[in-house]
Amino acid sequence: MFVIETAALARRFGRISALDRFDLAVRKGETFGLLGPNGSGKTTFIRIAVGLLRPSSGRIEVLGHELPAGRAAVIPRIGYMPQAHGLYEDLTVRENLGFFSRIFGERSGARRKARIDEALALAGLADRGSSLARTLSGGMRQRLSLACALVHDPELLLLDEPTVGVDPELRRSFWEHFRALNRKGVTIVVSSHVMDEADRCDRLALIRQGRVLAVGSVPQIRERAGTADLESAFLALAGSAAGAPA
Amino acid sequence: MRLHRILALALRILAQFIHDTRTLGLMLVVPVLVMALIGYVFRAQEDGKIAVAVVNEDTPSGGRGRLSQVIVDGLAESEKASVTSLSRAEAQASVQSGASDVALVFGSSFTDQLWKNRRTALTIIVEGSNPAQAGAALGTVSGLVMENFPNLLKNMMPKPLSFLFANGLPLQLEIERLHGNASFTTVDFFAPLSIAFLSFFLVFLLTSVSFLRERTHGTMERLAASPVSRLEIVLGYLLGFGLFSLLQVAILVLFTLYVLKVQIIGSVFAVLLVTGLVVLGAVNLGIFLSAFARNELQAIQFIPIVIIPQFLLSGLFWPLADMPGWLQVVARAMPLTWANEALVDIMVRGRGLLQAWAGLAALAGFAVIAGALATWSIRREVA
Repeated sequence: MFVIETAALARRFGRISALDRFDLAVRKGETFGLLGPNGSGKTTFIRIAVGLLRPSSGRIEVLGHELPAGRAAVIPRIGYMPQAHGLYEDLTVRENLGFFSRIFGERSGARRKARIDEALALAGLADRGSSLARTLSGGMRQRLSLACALVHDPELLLLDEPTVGVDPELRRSFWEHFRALNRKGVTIVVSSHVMDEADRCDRLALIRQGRVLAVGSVPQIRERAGTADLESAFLALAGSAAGAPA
Repeated sequence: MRLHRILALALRILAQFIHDTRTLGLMLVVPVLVMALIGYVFRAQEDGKIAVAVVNEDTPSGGRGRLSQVIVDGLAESEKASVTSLSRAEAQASVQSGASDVALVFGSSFTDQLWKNRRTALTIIVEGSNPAQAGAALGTVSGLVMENFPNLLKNMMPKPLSFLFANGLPLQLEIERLHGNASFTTVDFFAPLSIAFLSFFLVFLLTSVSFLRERTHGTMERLAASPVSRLEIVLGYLLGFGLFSLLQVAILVLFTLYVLKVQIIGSVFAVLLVTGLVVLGAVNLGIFLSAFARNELQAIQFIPIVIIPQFLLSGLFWPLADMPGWLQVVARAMPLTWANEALVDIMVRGRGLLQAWAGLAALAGFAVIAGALATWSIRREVA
């Protein structure tokens, strides 16, 4: 079934509408992309899905629980990587991971160590375990941030622009990790404003001004818009959405 | 609420301290340095003798002896004063330059007036630009003059009657201290609040900055999307900073007692308890106020609002009872006022925890209210 399902989800900040009639469904085990320009509502959607924001209206169900009511049941099963790194600069790499592992309830020292080792290996930071986070390079921080979102073995990963400022080589390794996680049954929702990342997603939603323009695989969306590439598809769909009566 | 999550937060805070050696130094070394300064400055002020310039223009008529000499001799014998005889002009210059703290001028008719009118005048000159210094010097000198007055009267008796006062005047002045003792010094009075004040100040500053970082570095966002609750966050901070402050206060108290040799009459445990309550309030206040700062500089801007008024109004410099009514109300709303009262009760008056209950209750109340505000300030739309 669906891991995330929304129906007419809307969110307003004062008079500004960040999400409006936002409908999408994410399938289990897929990598789902949220593609759209800055300010289109990607972060607002992710923050609603991790239970940080309340919807103004509409429904959202995550892992079978409606939010915000089912937040307590859902939260331990979600891994969230915020846009800001969200790392403790004065802790070592291992201490950062250990802290988030404890917070998410891993009380056995041996299991915690195993999880930390696994996350370190995945992030390619196995040899930097005792480095302080503040001494890491930008790319390493990004990887540590991802590892912190993974350390409690979540079923659903919500990653807010995880590849911003990441060099192409590292970006490729990120996507390889995502694939490996998908094979383990982990569902991944990843937001991006870079069109060429879309090809790597199983399916994606094109988002503009808080609305979902289209949902589907890249070929499906291209076909629907009748264009040769995704960028033209985005522009064509955006144009018809703007032209259509509200 | 889960204990292991609170412990995880507390352990994290301690680990952060260990990795941030500069902050560690600030928290453990700076209070001791400041305390040492307070101690030595006040000690130096009190240990010094008062330099008294004596101008004796006393010229009795009729071949009588100078009665003024009785006082001058008395001063010269005292341990608290060093006496130099100067002319009036020299004495003024000496006081002006600071070589003498105070000048005593006996006018030419000092003895005559005393014989004739049974009263006479004595002029005391002080520099006066520092009222505290002038006050201290005046107090000491007037005290010494008064001490020597009985001798002066004895000298005025006809010889055959002087045996009446062979053992001094029938009126004997005995000073009884309700608290403290003759060796009690200003440091002993200043030390209790200094301990509480230093801990409050440093812990408040550190909590507000580290919590602000939590908000600005995105880690708060992560915590908010984790099973940890707002109350658990506040309790974790309290535990982490509380444990750390205990170490800080213990070092500070030991230094104050054994190096500065400040006297404390009550129990050390009670002092730690009061300071502990002060620290808990400081942590909560730091978390709460960090919500109103957008960056570290803005967090620093709380110092003049939060710290300085408490310093001035705590009753250390200005007795609470002498403040205008509305200012007393303000002072009563501040934790350090209560901490000062409780610590003076314990350290100077030797009272027990039960007798200092009002201060303890007020401090605990402040910590709870600030804790509620702190919990509330950790905003998360979805609780």
